[in-house]
Amino acid sequence: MSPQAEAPEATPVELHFNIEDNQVSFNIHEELFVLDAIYGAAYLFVDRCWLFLTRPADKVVGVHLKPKESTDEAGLEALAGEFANELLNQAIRVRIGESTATLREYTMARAFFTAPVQSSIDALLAELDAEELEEDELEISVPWEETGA
Amino acid sequence: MHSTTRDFSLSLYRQTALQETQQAYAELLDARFEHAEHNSHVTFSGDGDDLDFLIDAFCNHALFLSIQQYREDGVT
Repeated sequence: MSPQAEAPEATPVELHFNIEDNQVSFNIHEELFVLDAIYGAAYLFVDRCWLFLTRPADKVVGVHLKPKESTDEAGLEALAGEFANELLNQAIRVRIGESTATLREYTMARAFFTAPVQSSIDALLAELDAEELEEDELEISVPWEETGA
Repeated sequence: MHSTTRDFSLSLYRQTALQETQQAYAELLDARFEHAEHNSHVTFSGDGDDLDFLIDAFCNHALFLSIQQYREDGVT
């Protein structure tokens, strides 16, 4: 029997929202999406919509979106879908931010607190100086006519 | 004069953000605050036809400032 046959059938997940007075409203549970992600998505919609957040219950955030330009029901549904997608993006951003926090702190600490290393240009100049000194220890300038003779 | 009320949850909107928004909109909109433990009950009143528009703009501004302050505080 193949693994696909054992797996349960995928069921469609629907975003439950309410459309009323040119406004779409839905609830987000903070156990699924942290407030940082909700704020992140809301921040990106502030220029397109009128936003209002409510607290209908503990750990639940009510999002009320009203487009700045009037639209039909399909437009409001699309808006709710876009917000949900952005919510997912922001949740991933938060997770990545948390998982790479130690690495970022380490990189910043190393950049600020380690001894400065001589730059490659300085190293090359020093190398050239060393070569010139090897050719003429006294570094006395000689006209090119004489050197060519 | 028309009036409308809205409840701003203090777990979502910063008190300072609401105060700054009130000051910014003082000349356009009359917003009276009644503070409770978990939310701020705001009564908006005005004569013009654009009252709803101004309330929506007020809410957006308060949310925008709340998010900014949340990020400045570095709460993740």
